[in-house]
Amino acid sequence: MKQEEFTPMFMMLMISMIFSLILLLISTMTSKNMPEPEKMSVYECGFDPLKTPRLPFSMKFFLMGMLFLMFDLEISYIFPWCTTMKEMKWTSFMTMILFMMMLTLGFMYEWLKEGLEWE
Amino acid sequence: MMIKTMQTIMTFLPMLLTVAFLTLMERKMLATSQMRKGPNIVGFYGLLQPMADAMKLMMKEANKPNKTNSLLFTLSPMMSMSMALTTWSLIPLHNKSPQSDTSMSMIMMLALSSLSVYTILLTGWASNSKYSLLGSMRATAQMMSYEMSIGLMMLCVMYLSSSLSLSTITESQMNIWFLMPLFPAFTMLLMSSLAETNRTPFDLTESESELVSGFNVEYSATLFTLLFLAEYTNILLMSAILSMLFLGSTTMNNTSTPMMLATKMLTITYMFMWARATYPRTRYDQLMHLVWKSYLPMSLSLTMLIPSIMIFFHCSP
Amino acid sequence: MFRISSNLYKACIYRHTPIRYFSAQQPSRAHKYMYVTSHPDYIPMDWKSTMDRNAQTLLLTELITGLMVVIGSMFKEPVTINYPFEKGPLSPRFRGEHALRRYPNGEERCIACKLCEAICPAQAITIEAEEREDGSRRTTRYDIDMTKCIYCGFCQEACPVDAIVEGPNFEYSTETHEELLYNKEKLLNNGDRWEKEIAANIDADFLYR
Repeated sequence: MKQEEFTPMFMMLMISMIFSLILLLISTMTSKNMPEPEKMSVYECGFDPLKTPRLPFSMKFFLMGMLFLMFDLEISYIFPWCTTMKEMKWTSFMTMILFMMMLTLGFMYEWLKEGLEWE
Repeated sequence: MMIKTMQTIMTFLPMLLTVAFLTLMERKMLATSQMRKGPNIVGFYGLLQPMADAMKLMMKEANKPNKTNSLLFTLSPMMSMSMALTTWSLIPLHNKSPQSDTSMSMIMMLALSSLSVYTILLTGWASNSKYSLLGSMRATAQMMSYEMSIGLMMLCVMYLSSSLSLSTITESQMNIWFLMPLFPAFTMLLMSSLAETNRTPFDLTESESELVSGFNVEYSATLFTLLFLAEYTNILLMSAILSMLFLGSTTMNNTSTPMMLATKMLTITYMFMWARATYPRTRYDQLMHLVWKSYLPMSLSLTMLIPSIMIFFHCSP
Repeated sequence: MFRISSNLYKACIYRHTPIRYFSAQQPSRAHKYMYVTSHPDYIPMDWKSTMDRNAQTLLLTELITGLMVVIGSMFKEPVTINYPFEKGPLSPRFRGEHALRRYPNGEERCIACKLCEAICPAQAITIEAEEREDGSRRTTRYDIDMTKCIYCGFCQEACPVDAIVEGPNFEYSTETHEELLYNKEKLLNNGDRWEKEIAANIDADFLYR
C-alpha cells in the first residue's frame, strides 16, 4: 500500500464521512423530534405489524450469490491475463481459453438444469 | 501531501454541487420530455430548487422506527455516500492524473461498487420492516448480477489498453475512442450501469407501486438525503466510467481538454435520464433473465473474441 | 441412451422449446408456463421475419424508436399554465363555493322552504326558520358545512327561487376547520361579492336548467 497512492482516497473517505456527520448534526439540531407511537411503528400499509419482520432466508438469493462468487472469481483470474496478454501471446491465450471453456461448460450445465430460472 | 489534500477537497465540493444540480436537471429533463415545465418558481428558472430541497430535508423530523438497529440504520446511508464519493478520487479529471494515482484503478472501482451493495443490504435489514427487507434483497441480487456484467465489459477495454489504470486508458484513446471497435460492449455496459445504479427501467427497488419506495421506506430527512445523493453520485460515477472507458475522456483526435470529459459525461447522464423518461419497468425475473442468460454469455464470448482477434491479426494499440 | 440422443436431436430442431439435453426422463411441463404468443406455431420462421427479429434484438430497434419519440416531444411547447397569474378556463356550470343570492331590490331570495336541506345527499345544510317582523318567511339559521358538502349542485337545482347557488370560486382555503363551516352571514356576503359573476353564469345557462 504505497502511501501516495491511497492517501487521497482515504482522505476522501474521511471527508465524506465528516460531511455526512455534519449533515446529521444539523438535522438533529434543527428538526423537531416528537416521537409518537403511530409514527414510530413500521410501515405496513396501515395495519399493525403482523409478524416478526425477519423473513426466512430464500434459497434463490443464496444460489445467485454463489454464482456471482464463481463468476467474479473468474473475472479476477482474467484480469492479470488481459493486462499481460501482449507479452506472451499464444501460451497465455491457450491456457486462458482452456480455463474459460471449463467455466463455460459449468455455466451451460447450470443453465440447462434450470439453475437460472425464476430469479 | 498538502497538495493532495487540497485537490481532494477541491473535488469534493463541486461534486456535491453537481449532484444537487443533477437532481434539478433530472426533474427539468423529465418534465420537458413530457411536454410540461419542471420546477421553475424557486430561483431563476428553478435554479435554487436543490437548495430549497436540501433545506426542507434537513429540517424534517428524523424518526427512527422502533426496534431498528440504530447504528446500522444511521451508518449505512453514510457508508453508501462515502463509497460513492471515494470512487470519485480514482477518476482522472484533468492532466490524466487522478488524485489517488494507482496502477489498479479499475480493480479499486469494482471493489468499491461491490461495497455499495453492502450498504443496500444493510439499509434493508436495519429498517425493521419486511417490505424493505424484501426490497433490499432484490436490489442486492440485481446489483450483484449486473456488477459481474460490468466487470466483464471493463475487461474488454483492458484487452485493448493492457493496463488497469484509468489514466493509461485515457492516453490510449488518443487516436480513436474505444467506442468504435467495442460498440456492443458499450451498449451492454450502458444498460448494465442503468441496472447497477437502480435506475429505470430496472428500478424495482424504488418502484412506488410495488414496494412503496422499496428499501428506504423507513428513512426520512437526512438519511434519505444521503441515500438519494449517493444514488445520483453513482449515476455520475457510472457516466464518468463509461465516458472514460469507451468515449475517450478528455481526448479527441489527439487533443486533450478537460471540458470534453464534462461534455461526454453530461451526454451519458442525459442518456440515463432519457431512458427514465422512455421505458417502463421490467419485471424482476425478466431482469435476472437478461443478465444471466443474455449479458453474461455475450460478455463471456466478447472476452474470448477480442483477444483472439487481437492475437490472430497481430494488432495491439 | 436412445432417449438422450433423441432429446439432442429434438433440441437441434425445436430450438425454442426448452428440452433437457442430458437427462433421459420425460420432461414434465407441470411447472412451466407456456406463453401462447411465443409458441412455435405462432412465430413466423421465414427468413425475413427471423432477420427482423434478430435485428431488433441486436440493434435494439424498438428501444431506439421509443427514445426518438421522447426526444421529439422535448421540442414541443409545454402545456403548463403559470397558475397564480394564468388560470384554466371554467364553464358557467362550474360548481364552486356556495352563495346565497338576493333580489335586485336587496331582499334575500331564500324563503326557508328547506328543499335544499332535504335533497342534500351529505346532509350538509342546516336550516331553522321563523317569521320575520314584517311577516315574511325567512331563515334564522342557514349553515352549510363545506367539509361535508360534496359539491353536487342538487341544492341549486332544488331551490325554487334560485337562492342557494354554487358560484365559480374555488380558492377559499382556510387554515382552521371552523372557518369552513359557513353560516348564513358568510353565505350572504359571498353572494354579494360574487353576484355579478353568478348572475352572468345563470344567464348563460338558464335555458338548460
